[in-house]
Amino acid sequence: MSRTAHIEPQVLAELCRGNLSGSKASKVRAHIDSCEQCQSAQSRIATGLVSMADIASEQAPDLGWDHIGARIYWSTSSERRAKERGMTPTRRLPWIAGSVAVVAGAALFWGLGGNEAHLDTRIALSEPEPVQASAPNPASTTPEPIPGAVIFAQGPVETDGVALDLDAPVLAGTEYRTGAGRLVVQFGESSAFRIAPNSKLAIERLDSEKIALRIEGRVDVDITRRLPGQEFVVIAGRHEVQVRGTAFRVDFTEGDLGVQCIRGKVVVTDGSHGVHVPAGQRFEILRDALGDAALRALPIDGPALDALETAMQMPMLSTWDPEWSLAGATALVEVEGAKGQSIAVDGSFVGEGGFVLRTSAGQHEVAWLDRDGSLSQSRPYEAVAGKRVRATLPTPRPIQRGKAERKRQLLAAMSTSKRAEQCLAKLTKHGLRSGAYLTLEVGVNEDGSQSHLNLLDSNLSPTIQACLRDVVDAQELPKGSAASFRFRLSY
Amino acid sequence: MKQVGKRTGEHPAIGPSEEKRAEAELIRQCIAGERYAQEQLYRTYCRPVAANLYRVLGDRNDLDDLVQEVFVIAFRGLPKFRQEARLSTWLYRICVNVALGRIRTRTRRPPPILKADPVEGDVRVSPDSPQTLLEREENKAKVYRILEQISPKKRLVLYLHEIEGHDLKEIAYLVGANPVTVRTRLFYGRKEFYKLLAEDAS
Repeated sequence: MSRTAHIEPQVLAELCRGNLSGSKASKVRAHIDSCEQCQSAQSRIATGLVSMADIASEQAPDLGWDHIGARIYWSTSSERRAKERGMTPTRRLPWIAGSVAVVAGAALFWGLGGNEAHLDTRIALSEPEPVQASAPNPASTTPEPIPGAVIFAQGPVETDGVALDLDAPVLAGTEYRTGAGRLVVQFGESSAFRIAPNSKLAIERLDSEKIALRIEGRVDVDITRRLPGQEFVVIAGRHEVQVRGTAFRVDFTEGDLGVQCIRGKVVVTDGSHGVHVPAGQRFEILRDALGDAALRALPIDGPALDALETAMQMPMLSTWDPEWSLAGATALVEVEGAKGQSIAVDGSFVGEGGFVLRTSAGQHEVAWLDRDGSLSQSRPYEAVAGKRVRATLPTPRPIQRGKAERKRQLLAAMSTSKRAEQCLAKLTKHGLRSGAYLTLEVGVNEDGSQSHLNLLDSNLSPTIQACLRDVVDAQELPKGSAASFRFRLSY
Repeated sequence: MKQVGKRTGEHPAIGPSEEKRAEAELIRQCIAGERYAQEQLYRTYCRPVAANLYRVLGDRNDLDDLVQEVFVIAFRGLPKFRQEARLSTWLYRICVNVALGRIRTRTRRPPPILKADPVEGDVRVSPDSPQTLLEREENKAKVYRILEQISPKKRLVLYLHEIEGHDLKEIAYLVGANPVTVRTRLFYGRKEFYKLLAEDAS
């Protein structure tokens, strides 16, 4: 360091931090005292060091923590679900049974008030983006009709006022009324829609240029692939739900519209306003209120999304050829099961009780859930092309002294209990830990009153135990079998 | 999140066995897909993760997206996490990499830190006058402005050393580089940074 050279800035920084040895520090200070330029440099560096210390102690700004959490959950669970979808049918079966239980458990927890952390997850969408109408496909002058087929039918369904003919072609202009039944129509590879009970759906267009469905009631749509330039809309009153390639549910009842999207993105529009509903979000409007600027799509919380995705799984033919003669290549299978009996075909839960399913010809497997939740051994059946076969399932095992039914009733009663919500809120406040549980022994008389209630085991705090025990104690069940059972609540 | 020892040369290894067991159990449950374990992990670390990203980037633009990215990467990578470092350190490492990606991709410097309402947030807890607070915010913005002029890799090493106080070994783990490389980046980064700071007359 010479008298003429200025001090290196990083040396000034070390000086400011007190990291220089005594002799070196003295020399540097001596230079600074005689050099205005180094004095001002040192001053700026000192200020900068103070600012760096300020930065180091900076805390996180407030973000929408719940909203971010929901998005992370959605993203990771989507990946998990995608991986699971890749499993073979024979491996999928037990998994599905497990997931039913998991979803039911999660739904119980969230239903009981565990969703506290997910309140206020409204997201701030930007101004509704203008919706661009899809350009017509210039290459096609006359759109080609797309063949569709009824894949699944359950209960009474009418087509154009008469009983459904399962072999009748699905064409534009067809109108379905489901009454107490439900119906799945496939219209391409991995693309189908399901009409829920008490709904009316008219197919306005079903061709290579546009698919337009007019719904009153509820329709679930799963579209994996569209033709180039093809437009897909669900018309609900004066609104349209425009599709970008996705899976979603539209519920249009008495003028109120609800849209829930589980994959891809849809746009709800009334022609002048549009609201984008991306995956994992829902959107609701009451009576033509789309112009209201306050309307936003909201996230669907994780367990509800899981439950929705499970509910929206619909049977489809695994291979699809538009040139097919359906009657010659597929078979209709009448599955007869007991009411409320969940039935899986080839590893996927298809429906409950009796229904008719269109499958490809060949060997298939049917399994079912007993009322106590256990999955049966799968049974093979042979579907012969062009023929209707019947698969009659054995009567479900009788429920021993009504235990399962009573358990189910108790769970249902607790899921709507305000007091249970309060207990769970307390539990959340005290720090909810995975693995927390409470085991009770409950006796129920035929008139629904409780004969006894014993707390057997728990790792919850005594306050929470007492709170949940009181909730169970307060439940009056409907008349039925007398039963005594163990009841475990776990989180 | 600042679990890594500061200027102590401490190896970022797991600490007491009780804590280690609890952390291992939490990780196991997360890998098993248990919703509540994942939520617990998120709730424990979301604020430190956001704070780290906020400090290193100096602004809150898209901070929620970046926090999401960190946790998605973390949950995806948990099965491969060998638990040789603390979970917090590992998450910090992901933060650093996400921040680096962010620094590389953004084309223009967004508005500096805490420009919108610097006084309101601090006035209740600080005896400083609004004028002083404003000056401090401007000085912090100046530091970020200077950091912005340094190449991303050097900038990150410089930030981790000079602001967060990590030693070379820790930084090498966090950025996934050789300690010698880190030392070189730090040397040139410091030289540039303090030169710019000393010359900055704005």
